[in-house]
Parts: sequence; C-alpha cells; structure tokens
Amino acid sequence: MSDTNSSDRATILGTLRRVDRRVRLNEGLKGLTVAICVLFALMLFLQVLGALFPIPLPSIGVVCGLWGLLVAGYWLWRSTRSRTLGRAAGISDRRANLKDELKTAYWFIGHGEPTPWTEYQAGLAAGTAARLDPVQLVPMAVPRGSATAVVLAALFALSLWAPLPDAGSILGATAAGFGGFGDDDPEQVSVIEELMAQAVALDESGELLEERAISKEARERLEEALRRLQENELSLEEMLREMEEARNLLEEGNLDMSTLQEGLEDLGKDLEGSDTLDELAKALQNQELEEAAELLRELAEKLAEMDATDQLGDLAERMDQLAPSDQQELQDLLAALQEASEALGEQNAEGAEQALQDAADLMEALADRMKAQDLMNQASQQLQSLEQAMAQQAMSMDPEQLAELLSQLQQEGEGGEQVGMSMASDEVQWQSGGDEEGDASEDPQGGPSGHATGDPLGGDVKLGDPTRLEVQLEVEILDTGEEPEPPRPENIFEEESRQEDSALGYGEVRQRSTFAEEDVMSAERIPWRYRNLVKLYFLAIRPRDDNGY
Amino acid sequence: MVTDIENQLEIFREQFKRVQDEIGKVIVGNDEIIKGVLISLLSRGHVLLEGIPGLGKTKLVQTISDVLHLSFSRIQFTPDLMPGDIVGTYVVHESETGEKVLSFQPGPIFANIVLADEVNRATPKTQSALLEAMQEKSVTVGKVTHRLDLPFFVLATQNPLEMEGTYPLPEAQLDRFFFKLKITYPAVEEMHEILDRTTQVDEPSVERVLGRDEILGMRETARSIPIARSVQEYAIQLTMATHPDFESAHPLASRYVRFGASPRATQALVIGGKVNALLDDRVHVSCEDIRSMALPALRHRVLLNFEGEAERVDPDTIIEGIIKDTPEPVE
Repeated sequence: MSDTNSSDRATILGTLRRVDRRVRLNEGLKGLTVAICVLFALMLFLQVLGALFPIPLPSIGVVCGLWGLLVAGYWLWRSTRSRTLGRAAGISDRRANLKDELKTAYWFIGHGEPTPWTEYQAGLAAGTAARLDPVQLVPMAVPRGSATAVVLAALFALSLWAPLPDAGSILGATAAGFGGFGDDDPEQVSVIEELMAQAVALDESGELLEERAISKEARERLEEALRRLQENELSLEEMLREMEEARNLLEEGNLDMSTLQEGLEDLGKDLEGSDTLDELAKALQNQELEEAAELLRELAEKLAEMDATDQLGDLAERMDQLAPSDQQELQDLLAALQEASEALGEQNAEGAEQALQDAADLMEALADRMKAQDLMNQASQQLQSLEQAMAQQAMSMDPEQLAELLSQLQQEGEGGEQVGMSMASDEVQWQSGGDEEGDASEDPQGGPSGHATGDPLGGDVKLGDPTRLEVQLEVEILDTGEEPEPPRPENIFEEESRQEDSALGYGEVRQRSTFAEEDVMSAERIPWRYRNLVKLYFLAIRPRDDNGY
Repeated sequence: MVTDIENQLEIFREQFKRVQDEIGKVIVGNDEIIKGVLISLLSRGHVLLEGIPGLGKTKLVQTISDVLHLSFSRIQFTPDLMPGDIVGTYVVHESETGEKVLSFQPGPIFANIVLADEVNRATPKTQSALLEAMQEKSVTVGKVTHRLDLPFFVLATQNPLEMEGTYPLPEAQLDRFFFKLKITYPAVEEMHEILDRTTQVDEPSVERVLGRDEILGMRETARSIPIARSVQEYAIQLTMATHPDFESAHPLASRYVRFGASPRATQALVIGGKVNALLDDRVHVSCEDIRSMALPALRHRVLLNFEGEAERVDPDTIIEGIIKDTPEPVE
C-alpha cells in the first residue's frame, strides 16, 4: 500500500474519530440530563410519598448514592463497549451531505482487498474529510431534557423548602376529609360530642347487663374506639369496623324472642277459663312476666285457703294440661308448674306452694332476661344508626369511596334486615322499613331482626322516605309475570283479522316483484361493450312469428 | 492508475452527455426516460417502455439506435407473430452446385438494439422467444445455439390501454427487464417544442456519436464503481420490504402484494445506482442512488394480490411507501 493511501486512511480515520468523540460527548450530555431528570423525579416522588404515607423511605443521600452508582455503571458499560467509526462516518455523511462518501471509504478501509477504484475513492474521501470541521459538523448541543431537569430540580428544592403537610396516611387524609376530628373545627368537635353521647347511652344500657361479659366487652371496645377517634388515631373506616364488631358482639347469644313470646301466649291460653288463673293467663298473654310472677306468688300463698276438692282440683287439672314447649327457657317454668300440679293432685299443699314459688322465681328471671335482651337490641340498633349517620356524614368527601366502604360493611354485617341504600347523583339516601321516630323505641319486643332507624345525630342525618304499601304492591304486581289472558271466544275473529293486517297484501306483492325485476335489469352486470352483442344474441334466438319477425 | 481512472470517468461522462444531447435534439423532454434507457443500456439490461400511443416511445427507441452506431431491428408484435419470425428459421435454398441445402436465416433478434413494439400483442409462445435472448444473449434454433452480438439491448413497448386481445407479459419475462419506464404526457412548453420541431420542413436529425466499443467500455467502467456494504444492505432492505411474508415487509406490501421483487431487482438497484453515481460525478454509490433506481427497477417486479388488483393499487404507491419508510443504515 502506498504512502499516499496510508495518509488518506489516516486522514479519514482521524476525522471520523474526532466526529465520534463529539457525538459521544453529546450523547453523554443527553444521557446525563435524562439521569438527572430521573433522579429529581424520583426524589420528588419520594418526598410526596413520604408526606402521604407513613412508610419508611430511603434518605436523599441513599437515593443519590444509588443513582450515582447506576450512572457510573452505565457509563462504564458504554465506555467498554466496542464501537466502530461507521456511525461517525454515517453521521458525517448525513450532516455534510456527502452521499455516503465517508461511509463507503471507511467500509473499504476495513474490509476487502483494495482495488484501484476503492483507492481512488478513498483518496477523494480523504480530501473531503480533510475539509470537514468536526466542531461545526457536530456542535455541542444543549439536551432537550435540560429544561425538564431544571424544572424538576426547582420543584424538589421547593418541596424541601416548604415541606408538604404530614397527613399520616391516605386513610387518615380521607378521614380528615370526611369531617375531621381536629380541635380547630367546630363541626368536627360536634361530631365527636355526639358520638360520645351515644357512647354514654350505650354505657347506661350496658349497666343493666353487666353480668354479661359480652356486653361489657362490646362497650369497652366501643369506648376505646371512640377515645382513639377523638385523639385522631383512628380513621373513619376503622371506626366503622369497630362499631360493626361491637354490634356483632351485642347480637351474640340472643334469645329467640318471638318464639318465646308465642310460647308464653300459648301458656296463657292454656290457663284461661279458670277464675283462679284468669289474671295469670292475661298477664302471660300480655307478656307481663313480672306481674305474672307476682300473681303466681299470691296463688301459692292462697293455696291453703282454697277448696281442696273444687278449686285445687281445677287448678291441678289446668296445670296438668299445659302443653310442653321446645323453648329451654319455658321448659323449666313448665316443669315447675307440672310439679305444682302433681303436688296438688297428691293433696300436698306445701309441695305445691314451693313449686309455684319456684315457678314465680323462674318467671322473674325470664322477665329479666327478656328485658336485658330488649336493651341489647336497642343498643345494637343505636349502634347501627350511628354507623349510618357517620357514613352519611362522610358523603361530602367521596361518594364512590363511601359507597364501596358501606357495601363492604353491609356484606360483613350479620343477620337482621339490612338498611337499603339508594344513590342518586351526588346524594346518598338511606331508606328503612320504619319511620323516622324510631321503631325500636315503640316496639319493646323488637328482636335481633329489627333495627332502629331513628336519628341519633339530630338534624344532620337525612333519611329517605319510608317504603309505602302502595309501592310494595306495585312491585309485586310487576313481579307476578302472569301471562295475558287468552282472547274471549266472541273476539277470536276480530283477533285473527288484526293479525291478517300484518301480512303483505296481494297488490303489494306484485308491486315489489316489479321493482325487483327492474332492479335486476338495471344492474351493470353486462359490460357496456358487450351489450350490443348480447342484445343481438337474444334477438337471434328469439321465437319468430309467421311473418318471420 | 489514478490518471487512468480519471480518464475513464471523464470519457464516460463526456460520452454519456454527447448521447444525451444528441437524443435531446429529437426527443423533447422525457429526460428521466432517456436517462433510464441509457442507464439500462450501460447496465447490460433491457427496458420495457409503457405509455399510451403517440407519446414517442417508438421514436425514442429509433433515435437511440440512430445515435448509437449499432445494428437496429424492429419487430412489430402481433397475435399471429411466430417465434421463428423473431429468432429466425432454417430455409431451403439452392446452392451454386444446384444442391438443395438448409441454411439458417437469422431473425430480427440478431441485432444490437431490438425494438419489440407492442410486445404484449404477441402470444406467450412468441414472447417466450425473447426470454433466452434477453437473459443468455443467445438463441437456440433446432440444435444450434447462436450467440448474439454484444451489446444486445431490447427495448419493448406496451400500451396500457386497449388491453383486449393482448397477452400480458408473464412474470418470468417481466423480471428479465432491467427497468420499466413509464412515459407520460409532455408539458405544455414541451408540446410547443415538439410542434416546432416536427411541423417544419426540416425535421431534426441525429448523428451517430457512440460505437459498440465505447458502449462496452462504459459498461466496464460502471461496474467498477465501489459500493459500501451498508448501501448494499439498503438495496436489499428495499427489495425485501416488497415481500409480504418477510418480517420487515412494508404494511402496503403485506396487504396488496402476492410476490415481491426478485434478486434481479436488487441487482438492478445496485448496478443502476452505480451508473447513476457516475453520472453524478461520484465514484461511490449512495443510498440516494439506490432510491432513485427503486421505481423503475421494482415496479414491474411487484406482483399484486387479488385485493391489490381489486382496489387498483398502483405498484408505484407501494414502492414509494417502502422508500419513505425504510431507514438508511446508520453505519
């Protein structure tokens, strides 16, 4: 290879190397800008994340260190990667509009045996390369992302200078949005006060049930939840869950009140018809167990004064005829009365008196249990109303989130008639089976199946209209799905003629057929240049008359 | 050595310019067509000229043959034309001794420049007579193969209208044409010039400026131009983009093309690109040269599928889409 060719090669390669260095410098700047953007965006994100969620986050130093390591690793990888000058040749050709001259020369420098033509081309390319100025060809460019990097850096600095408020958590922020429990908001304070008033009411109802650990546990749980709520340690969702748990505790081990009441009523009916037991029977039928117990005691005391043959015999016979009951609570009472009956039958007045006294004690105990159960039901209903009220208070923050929350609570809730919810635009209304005055207060025997729908928080809670009987009837009518009645015999012909009207008339058939024929004939299916030929063909084969036409 | 190359380049450009100027005396406008025809001639290829009647296709070919000092023959393709009418046949004649002998009577194919006028009017059997001649530069009659004199250059014309009773060229034959050039209507100014030249008493005439040896020399020069691998890669990418089943197929090709261009197309792109580079005073082929050759080299090698035929898609549209969307190699 001649010296001239060597110098041509050196010139070309020298120019390409200078171009390549500048290209890589620009790429490095661009990559660094992107890396800086990523760093500031990450730190800004962590800053916001730290403000919203109380989770442990890495410090700025750690993030910067990791970033530095990553950038250095990438830089090292790029530096050690083998690269050719072909890209620099391509960039030079493109920017200097050389029409692949340097690219061709560089290719033949590195590949294949040189020929006179490739040497000649390399000589021309060397001349071109010598004239190129890499500084002008690849100027230092400010990366496009630098503005973004500056903005992100400024935002990050701003976040450091004016840190975001520590909202604790997303749920905490949501709870604050619901109504807040801070000391500086009168509305929030009033909510707390109302909740505490409800807690006191529950506490008072619970005093009568202190012998039941379950009631005590529920009350304590609720009081603890209220305390935490007041101290802003509890979110709305958590508070509602606590209330749900407390309500479930109160509803555990409930008496089957309705069956019990029916059993007492039957017992009263069985005892009817006797002068001695009439008052007792009425008291049992009216569910006045304390009075019934008192009457039993009076009866026990009067046994000695009664006529041994008539009155005691009648008494023994009626008590003997008492129907057995499946209710555990009533079985003991019936057993005592049965024992009294047997004692009366044996003319054992003392035994009968003792048995009646025992029956009176059992009846009093049953009265206490029923009263306690009634109070527990009231407490449960009040809790549910409170849940509804709190949920409705939260309407202003986010209807969708609240609806989801309530649906979860309703699914998790056990037994009882669930409160219906209807959502119209931005407002959520609660509908219940009772009126606004509160069914529970008017229904002393309300079992676990009933719920109070009163307004525990006063005017803040808006309840929907109660479901009216007419509405229910309308739904039932719609749901019947009865088939329409068949036409009466006298209307059969009229019905048939009505169906006939829907069929296509004879006149229309002809009309439509004609239209279809025209449509077919109008279709351009025969190329125009063959039409004459087709016409002639059909004319030739047409049947002719006698005249030859 | 450098001086030799520079001389060759100088001669090439000078001779090409002389031919172009001389043709320009008769043919008005159509510079790209003239350039395309000459590039094909210098690339050892053949040209298919397509245009409606009256645009000067035959006149162009006649003028080129007049300018070049080469033998010329014209074959008017008709449905009753037989292969023997093209390649020649054995005839019985009486020798000086009175003996009856069979001797080969060469057909019009035995010329340097052959004008196959309205080539699509002959039957495929007759068209196929051109196949061997175009590719092998030889014809076989009976058991004897006759070499054709070089340069052998076929210029075929066809009319895109009046397709009734014609026999479109089969794909195998189309592929043998180096370029397919489309002649369009001249502009108004060019029409004035045509009228000025052809409606006077003296019609313009041309001189023979290029002989057989010069053409063969120019062909050698053109083939010597180096091409970088990346530029060659670009030519391959353009060709492969016309293949609907190829992974880098262009969306238009995937939709409308049944068969893409053959390797002959890539050869045409590269060789045509070399001549184009020489004409642009360069001794290296650029991607731009390849692009400028793409339409004439690919348009007749892209076979449309049913959907493409039904929607009357112009292959030029597909090729232009490929040119637009195929990036040049970076390195």
